[in-house]
Amino acid sequence: MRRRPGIGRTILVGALIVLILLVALAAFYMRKPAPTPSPTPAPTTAPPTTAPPAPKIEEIVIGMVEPLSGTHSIFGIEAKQAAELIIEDINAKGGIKSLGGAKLKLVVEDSKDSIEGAKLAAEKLISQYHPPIIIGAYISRHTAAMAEVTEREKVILVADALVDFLSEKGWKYFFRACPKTSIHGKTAMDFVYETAQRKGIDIKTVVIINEDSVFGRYTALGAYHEALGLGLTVLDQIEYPYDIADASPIVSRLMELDPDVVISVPYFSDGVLIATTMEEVGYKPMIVAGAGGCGYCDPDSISAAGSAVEGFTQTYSYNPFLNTPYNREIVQKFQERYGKLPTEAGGIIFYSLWTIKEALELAGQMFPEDPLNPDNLRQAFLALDITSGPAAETYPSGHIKFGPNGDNIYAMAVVLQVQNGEPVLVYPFEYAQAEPIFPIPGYKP
Amino acid sequence: MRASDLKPIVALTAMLAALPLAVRMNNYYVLLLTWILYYSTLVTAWNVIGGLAGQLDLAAASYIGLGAYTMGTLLTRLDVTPWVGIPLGGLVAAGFAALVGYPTFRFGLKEAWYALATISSVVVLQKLFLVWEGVGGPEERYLPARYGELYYLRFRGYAPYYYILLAVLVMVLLLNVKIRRSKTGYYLLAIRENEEAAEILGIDVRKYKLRALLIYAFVTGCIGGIFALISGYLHPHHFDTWTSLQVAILGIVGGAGVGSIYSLPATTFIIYSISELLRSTLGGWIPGIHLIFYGVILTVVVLLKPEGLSETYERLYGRIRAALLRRRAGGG
Amino acid sequence: MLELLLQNLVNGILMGCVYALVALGLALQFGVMDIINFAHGEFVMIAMYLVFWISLYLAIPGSLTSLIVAPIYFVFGLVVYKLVIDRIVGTYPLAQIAATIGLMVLLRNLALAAWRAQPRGLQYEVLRGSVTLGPVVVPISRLTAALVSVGTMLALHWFLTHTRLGLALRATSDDMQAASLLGINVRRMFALAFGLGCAIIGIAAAFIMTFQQVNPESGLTWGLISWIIVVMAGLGGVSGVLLSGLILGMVEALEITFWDPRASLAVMYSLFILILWVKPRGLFGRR
Repeated sequence: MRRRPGIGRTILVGALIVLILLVALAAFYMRKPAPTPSPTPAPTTAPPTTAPPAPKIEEIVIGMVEPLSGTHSIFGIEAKQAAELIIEDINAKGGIKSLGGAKLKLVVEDSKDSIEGAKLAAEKLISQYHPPIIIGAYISRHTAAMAEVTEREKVILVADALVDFLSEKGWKYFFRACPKTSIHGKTAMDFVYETAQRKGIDIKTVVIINEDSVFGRYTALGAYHEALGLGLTVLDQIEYPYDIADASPIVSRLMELDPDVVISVPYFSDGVLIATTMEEVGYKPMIVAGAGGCGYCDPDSISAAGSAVEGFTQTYSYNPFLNTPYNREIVQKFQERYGKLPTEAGGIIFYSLWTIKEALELAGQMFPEDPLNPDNLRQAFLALDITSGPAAETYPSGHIKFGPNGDNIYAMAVVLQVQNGEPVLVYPFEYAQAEPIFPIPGYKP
Repeated sequence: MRASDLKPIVALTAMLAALPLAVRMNNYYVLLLTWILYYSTLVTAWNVIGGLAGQLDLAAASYIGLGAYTMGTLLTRLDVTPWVGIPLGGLVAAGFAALVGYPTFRFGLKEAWYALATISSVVVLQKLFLVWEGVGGPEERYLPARYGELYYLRFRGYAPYYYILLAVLVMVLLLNVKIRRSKTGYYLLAIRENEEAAEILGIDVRKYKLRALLIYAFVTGCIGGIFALISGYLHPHHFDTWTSLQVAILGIVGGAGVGSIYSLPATTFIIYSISELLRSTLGGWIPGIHLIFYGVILTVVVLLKPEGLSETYERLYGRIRAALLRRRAGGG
Repeated sequence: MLELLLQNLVNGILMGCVYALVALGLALQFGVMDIINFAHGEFVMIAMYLVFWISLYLAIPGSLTSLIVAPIYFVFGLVVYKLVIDRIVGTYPLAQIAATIGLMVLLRNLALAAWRAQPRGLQYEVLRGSVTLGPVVVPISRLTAALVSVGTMLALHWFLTHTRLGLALRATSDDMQAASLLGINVRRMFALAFGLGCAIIGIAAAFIMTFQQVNPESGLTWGLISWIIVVMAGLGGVSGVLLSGLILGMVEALEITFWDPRASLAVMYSLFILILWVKPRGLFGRR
């Protein structure tokens, strides 16, 4: 390819650009019209009666993708621990009875805390183990990357990521038992408002502070809209990076605004940082209500922040103190094996995996000839209405039923409060272990 | 460009083109190969700045992110095809590179400042795009899900992306060979060996370094556009320091600028495969094992074999060839 | 508004002292050996973990662990010097940068494998509460940290200007060859500088831990801040580092208060590029 003397570099480059533009232009005119969402045909209800008897299913692989390395590995590792425990428990209790006691097998893949890794992990699971169901990936954008794969391959994706939009994408094989972010934000705001009313205290102003990820943003928005709906004034919404080195500037902004209520969406250690800084400078609003699954009331945070988080509250998708036989049993097992209380990441896995188990049972009853067919399995998920058993006993509202978008219709978050150095359930009031402390200790009007 | 330069490229292309068929289009392996090819193109492009010009650039993720956002924003807002958006993304990346490169390539300024300025640029762009709600923001921005259309360059499978990246890799390889044989290439080599001597000889050091940087940034920006198409959305996390580090590590371990250019894709292939193997086998027990592997291999190679692995491959290749010839001679 | 401004200037100054102390070790190593340690932030992170574990097992306040961590870290510095740095001093810059980047990736992920990503914070801390000076509230933990920072810097300054060893260090920094002709063992000086730099990190880590938590990823933030300070200070000695730290601290505090907290790193970085552009020898460089 020795360059002939006649053709200069400029001409070559020019030719390349013209070529690219021509291809682009051609492609533009060959575009198909924008696809209109076609209504999904109603499933044919009559199952083929002449189908040969299905081979007996010995083992069902459940795929799991979690961030086991990187920034979010703290959640991924706990989710993996919880999953191993539950799968053992399900198998020990006889597996999937409607499928002749088929056992579940868990295969866990690391998402490398990246889009690249999440996709790789999902493809690997599907091409090597053919799991009918995959659970994961805790981080919403990794879940979204995985959903592209699972939708294409028709694999049921049970998400443990909370961000709202996941259920708004029109994904067919997508289910989520846990409450989404906006529910967390709303619950935190409702809790504060209703508690204030119960105590006969008037609250007027709110400041929302949240870490700057999409998770923080959506949770904060849930609280924001609820606050407006309740007629409160939102003085400011402050977003900050979760790895902030010093929280003093943020706390001094809060002091300047001096709201009645601070709604906070922490990531993890930033919550402790904010709480200790408030304690140090001696500033406390009436309440600091955390929203979004982790932060102020985790055992780690309480031991790190000590008295600084006394009275702080936090919403969770799972309540480790739920007083049901199965929940007590599993929390004890978890503590014995891993030496800590299960929190958000583990708790979601508890009920999500049991929900999967119930769906498989139901699929075995509804479609005995082909229970693991993705569309049959999907029908089973949609037909679920769980009000008893381990899934219900570990779920805050005790009720799981999926709506058409894959979200749990009876999704609920709970509020824990640090009282005397221990997290206790204070909201919803009908399940509460203790009366909420309001205003929190250290509040000076 | 000589015919002898082209032979290995043709051979490599033919081999790589056949690979997805060899794994029978299994989605997992094709995706794995696509990521390997993605890093191969990045590392080969990095050779222009890191190998030929000898500047430790750690801003690959900055250019990738800028390329991705330029392409993606044009596509989602104005329905501009990636065919146009990708090169434009390259231009934006090159513009940003000039902004960082011009002050840091001042004669006599330490190489370390350039490396620091580039890796910090990744973090900073990530933050800026997080704050810039109009274009970035914390929320993922999805590209139109119009699969299988040439205008949108979106595909459900990975094979099309694999071949697109293969085409890019060939172009980048040709570019490398061409630069090396050009006046710019010789000047860059002189600068790398001894910057002061080059300056005394009257070579405009800053100009040639900048030229190398702009070429590299443009190519990386284009690859960033392709990355966005594969991942399907835009997010500030496309500015990821680990990507930058990984590219530089693969480049250094592969012996960028020292040995044969083909050592870079080869190194990428080997290291990425091992790291994926570690991730998928041991990753469940030892979190981050694949990253520890990167750290170990980089430190060890730099301390024991600072010129990288390219020479090792050549020796290995020579030995295998000799053995084959001997066998043929013995058999015949 | 004025109160808010005043309060945040004070916040910034206190944080600035801490930043300066964190960067001081890096500046010392850079000054003497002409090497930038990319793993500096990771060194800080590992030291913070040490502080956490020592404080946990010996049940002593984090601030006191500095007395234990600093000597441990001095030895750690010597070991790293012998294993890695000694082999790359004086080789070509690319290899120097690459080796410390390898160290950075390695340390960060070893920490992840060993301690998982869970953030760790001190439990036993006596430095709680605050003092009120007029309109300004000063947390005691930050105040102590700032005072210790300034104290350490004064001590280092005294060491460099009043002891034989310190003078030898400075001579090595000024002209390696001349120092070697004068009979100074340059290699030993390098080892000393690296060890001292690490010891300072040990002190800094103990006081950061009085108000911060540590996780395997926290290295990057501290690394970034230190690099910016070293660029700003140039080869300007201890006072240059302190002043640069103060500037950085105040810029950050004011940015967070009056603009968007999310953009603070971006603002600091722009400062970094600006200084490289207009004053490539640093604001306080003597050469």
